[in-house]
Amino acid sequence: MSGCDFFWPDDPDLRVLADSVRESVSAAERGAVLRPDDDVWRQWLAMEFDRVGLPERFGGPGGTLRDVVTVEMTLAAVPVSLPALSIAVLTHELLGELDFQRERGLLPLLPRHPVPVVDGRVTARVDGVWWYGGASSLLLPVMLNDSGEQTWSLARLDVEEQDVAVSENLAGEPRARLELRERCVTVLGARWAPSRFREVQATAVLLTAARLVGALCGVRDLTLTYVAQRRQFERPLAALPVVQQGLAEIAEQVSAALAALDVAAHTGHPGQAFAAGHRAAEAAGVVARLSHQLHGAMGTSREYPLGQYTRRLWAWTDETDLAERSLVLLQQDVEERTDIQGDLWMAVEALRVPGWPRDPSTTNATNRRRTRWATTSATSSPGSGASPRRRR
Amino acid sequence: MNDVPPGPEPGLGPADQAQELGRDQVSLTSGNLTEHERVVTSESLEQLRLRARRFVDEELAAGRFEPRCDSWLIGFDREFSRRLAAQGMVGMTLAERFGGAGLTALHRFVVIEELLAAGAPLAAHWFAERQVGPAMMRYGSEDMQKEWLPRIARGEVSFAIGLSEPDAGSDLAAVRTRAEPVNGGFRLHGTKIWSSNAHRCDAIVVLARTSDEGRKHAGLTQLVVRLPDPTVRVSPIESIDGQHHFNEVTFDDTLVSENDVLGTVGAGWRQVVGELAYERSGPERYLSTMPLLRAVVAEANGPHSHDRAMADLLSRMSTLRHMSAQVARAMSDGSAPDPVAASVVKDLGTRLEVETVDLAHRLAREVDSPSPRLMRLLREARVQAPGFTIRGGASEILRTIIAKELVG
Repeated sequence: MSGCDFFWPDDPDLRVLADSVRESVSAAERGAVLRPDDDVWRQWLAMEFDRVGLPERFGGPGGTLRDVVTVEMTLAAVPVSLPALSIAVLTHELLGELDFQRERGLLPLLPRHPVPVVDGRVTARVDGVWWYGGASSLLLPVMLNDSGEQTWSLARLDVEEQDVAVSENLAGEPRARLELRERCVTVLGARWAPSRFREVQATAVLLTAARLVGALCGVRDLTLTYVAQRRQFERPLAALPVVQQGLAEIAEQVSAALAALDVAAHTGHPGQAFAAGHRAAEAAGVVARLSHQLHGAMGTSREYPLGQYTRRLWAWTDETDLAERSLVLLQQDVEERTDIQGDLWMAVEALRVPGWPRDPSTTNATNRRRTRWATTSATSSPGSGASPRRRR
Repeated sequence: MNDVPPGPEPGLGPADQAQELGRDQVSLTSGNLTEHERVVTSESLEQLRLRARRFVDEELAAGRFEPRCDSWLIGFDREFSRRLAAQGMVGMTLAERFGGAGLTALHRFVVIEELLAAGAPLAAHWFAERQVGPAMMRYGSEDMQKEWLPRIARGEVSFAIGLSEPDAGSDLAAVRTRAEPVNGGFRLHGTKIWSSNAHRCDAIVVLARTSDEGRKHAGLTQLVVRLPDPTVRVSPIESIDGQHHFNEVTFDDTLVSENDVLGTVGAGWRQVVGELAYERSGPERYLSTMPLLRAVVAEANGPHSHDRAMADLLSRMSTLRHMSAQVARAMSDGSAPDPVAASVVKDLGTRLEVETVDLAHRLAREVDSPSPRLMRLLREARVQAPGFTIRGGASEILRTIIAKELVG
């Protein structure tokens, strides 16, 4: 049980994709937080890794949700912070079929709920916005009330410096608080049902879960190596029963988080995405605590790489309130599908995509996400270092 | 309850088993397939699941069973097992020529999920179907297969398991029960403990020492002992609530025919360990308390104060289902069972089961007038819960297995 592709032995293309991603950031320092002016970031854009999953009709190379998740996991397992893909994916998720997809410089905002528009103006505060520079326009979900029917759309805003307070999260990644006060907005023409907003939230949670699982794999592998090599009482730490119990707990938590991520990425089921977010958040807390305990004082040193992972685990779960938020969203999703009180087993079943588990005779190719992620399957075998475009 | 030895298990999945047994051999029972069994073979997993759900719904509506927690251990009902078998839902993974449906572990997985979630009484055929049948398919002689497998598939035979001993709990290889060679077979002497439902079973599969040579894991053999037998004493071990399903089974020079040796003499350890993936990773490791949860949620006046707890339950349950299905899929594909994956499912699943008992009791406090069924399920789950993390491999042993596999 090693590496983040433990549950994906049936898809060698994902392994090749992960290898390509690792190679593409090999010049970056381990633990780096990259910025758009870094060479690695520029090279990343040139290879169009930031557009994995974007349909060809919007100028992207296509790809599945599993491809996207694989890229995010792999980066987090290095670890390197390079959020270009997440930004592009969430932009695409918000825009749907609107044709702004080829633009770069759009920054998606994802408040907990679409923001009401009053007399053509919005007032809102959005925390934890990824602020890497280079953004020219903001995409803000806004709530509309058309003839008594609740819908939502997007407002496009220019970035104004006085609205932005920039800081860093615990992992050293740039974050901003946006204070929008009675900003005049132009609302785009599209109107969407509230359920679609939850789908966007599901994708955002899934991306966070993917990063967490990548970092969790990194912590697990680092801890395994450490306790196997470090000797105390004339034997490896790993020979101590109490250490073995801790190791197993780490492995179990990572396996569960991986499994939840796997099924969510495979099915595209929003409820599964929220479940994956919750599992990843739970695992992050347990694994960070246990890994530091097993590393002893060494783990607290900046020189040793454990902190590069655990600071990310804490930062990503805290800034998104992931454990709590994913449960709230999961509950909403299930209640929309079924009456939990009517029959709990049916509520459990509501989280299962019909046809899952797949019949033994079916192939992997049938499980590509059916909606906007089904445009192109990554079934070719790119060479190491291949760009997503060349993967087709 | 079976205690479980640590260690990896070699083994083949059903696909390989079928190859081993030779699908082109003359069919023994294919001409006797019931209509239901023929239907099963053409069903998708989804159709099969819905059919299993309909069956238990009808049984429940007709009052033919009362939902129970841990129904795979304490819900013993031979008639239910026969009715289920008539639906083609017992012995599904056994070869068609032996009366089974020749299906995969995934097919069994979806059916078992529905049965356990309803709390249906499965104990009468459980061990026969889950591990004895598959073990006989892999290791049994042709005569043994002909004798037992069709009966298992018809749901008319109950097996007990004799693994643990008074002085050998998690350390199974320390078994002292001995089987001395005699003319035409073995003479068995010793005591097994925690054998569920042995007092009403037709046979018990015993792991006994047949040789002292080599490592302690060598020299062990599996024997099928027919019950009742005047030399076999089955003594009840009452559970803390006074129920009787555990037994101590003493063999006092019991003669076992050489025809009743399961597999190879001296290979018992390898064979037993090979059964563990079936035993550890199945839905019974996370659904034993689902009947209680269903009952309490249905009767609670809205689980509002426990909304997060319910969502947490759904999240964990959903993940465990996927992990368990992954192991079943690997078995279906013919892969060797992964001891780590199976142990992870068992440890995480049984911990969830234990926590759900507390959750159910918290929810029950909000029920104004709990029904007799709910009260019974609450009590049942409380007294069964301590066994969840012990049977089938104590949690601490499982974690040791996981850690050793990881570190190498």
